[in-house]
Amino acid sequence: MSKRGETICTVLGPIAFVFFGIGFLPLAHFLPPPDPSSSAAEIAAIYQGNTIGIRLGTALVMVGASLFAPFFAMITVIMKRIEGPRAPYAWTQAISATIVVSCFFLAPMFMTMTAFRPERAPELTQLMNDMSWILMVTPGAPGTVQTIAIGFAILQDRRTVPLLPRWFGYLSLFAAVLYLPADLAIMFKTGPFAWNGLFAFWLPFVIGGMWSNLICYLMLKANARTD
Amino acid sequence: MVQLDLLPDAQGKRTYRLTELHKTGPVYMADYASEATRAPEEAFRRLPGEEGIWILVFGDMVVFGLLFLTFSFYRAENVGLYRSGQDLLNEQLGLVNTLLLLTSSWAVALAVRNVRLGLRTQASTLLGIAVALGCSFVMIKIAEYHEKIAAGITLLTNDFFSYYFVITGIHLTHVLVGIGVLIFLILRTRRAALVVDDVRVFESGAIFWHLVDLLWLVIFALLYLTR
Repeated sequence: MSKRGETICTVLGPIAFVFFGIGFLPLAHFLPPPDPSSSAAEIAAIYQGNTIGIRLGTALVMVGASLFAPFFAMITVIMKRIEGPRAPYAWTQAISATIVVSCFFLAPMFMTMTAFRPERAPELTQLMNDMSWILMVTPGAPGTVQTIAIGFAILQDRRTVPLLPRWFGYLSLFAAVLYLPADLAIMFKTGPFAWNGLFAFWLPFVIGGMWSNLICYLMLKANARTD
Repeated sequence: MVQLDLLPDAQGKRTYRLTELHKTGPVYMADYASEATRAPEEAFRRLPGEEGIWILVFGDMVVFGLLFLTFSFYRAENVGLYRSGQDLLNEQLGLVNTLLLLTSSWAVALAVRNVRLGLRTQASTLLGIAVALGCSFVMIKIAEYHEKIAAGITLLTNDFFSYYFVITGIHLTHVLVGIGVLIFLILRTRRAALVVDDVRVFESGAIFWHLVDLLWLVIFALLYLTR
């Protein structure tokens, strides 16, 4: 048992968000995301105007995405503690988290490829940009499965004082529902369901961020326990 | 008739046992721990269901509230388009669906009451009726979608129908989840003995189903009826 290891993996979650924030906000200027209804020339101009910023920013976001791996691993560990040796939800979490991390890693990777030769034909830049952003918001479905698994695991904890509180289990189920509309981003170029809209981007982004920091705090408390 | 007994307790807390008196005999309802200073009436004023379920319910209501607000905001900008879209909706099917959900909610409320009385067969039958009504809702909704798609109306026809399909689609997902919850409750009635914690589970499930019903009432008014 390594309590220090558990603490390190837990706090890497919020640190990952810091990397996302610095990478997207002051460097790449990708918050809010580029408008999906922009013309190819407008998208190309974004990448031509801020080539260095986008390259550096997406590099930081790739580091941030990688740091989700230990954080999600720690969530799997605590779920395994809740469930015991037969732990279907812990494994569901581990596998879905892998898909989520892959998307969050590949999306900035495609962005940096887009910024690698921004002088190419604008239509190609637009294509790359579409690929990047649809990849960025599509983890909706595996994220939903992952978060439902976490919620179910918490709710079946039979301890008198559960390792993670039951209200957080319900909160996870609520967050899980919220991630689903992100998939609608494949249908819309404007409005609240487009990849820069309220329901496809901002709500999952804000709730996901709050949820991750909350589970970090709750896991730190649970890590101190020995049962 | 209810009866409230003060149980002997050592740790400076008073515990009250609430029992309902029926012709068939007393039915144990719940124990309430209370601070010594609180009046007994205050002690048995409690929230139905588990506390956590209300996080899910209020969170979901806030998200749907945001959906309704964005819908109303865009509708105000282009009332003509939204009205002409509304004219193409099938109000009769909407009304039938409203009645189906209201009746199912009534059956679920009765089922919870029967669970409290220990009448498990009746509770199971009533929940079965609610599931059947919920499934009818789903089939009518699918028929309604089919009618629209056959008439060449899809998610991308115009803004009104984007909202129509997205809002009713997200609600339909809730109905399907709710049917799953009701089936889970039916299986739970087969347990050898139902204790107070089980009553809480039934209340929590019922609260979710009422939420599904309540959301539909607002959706029906907003999409089908508001002129």
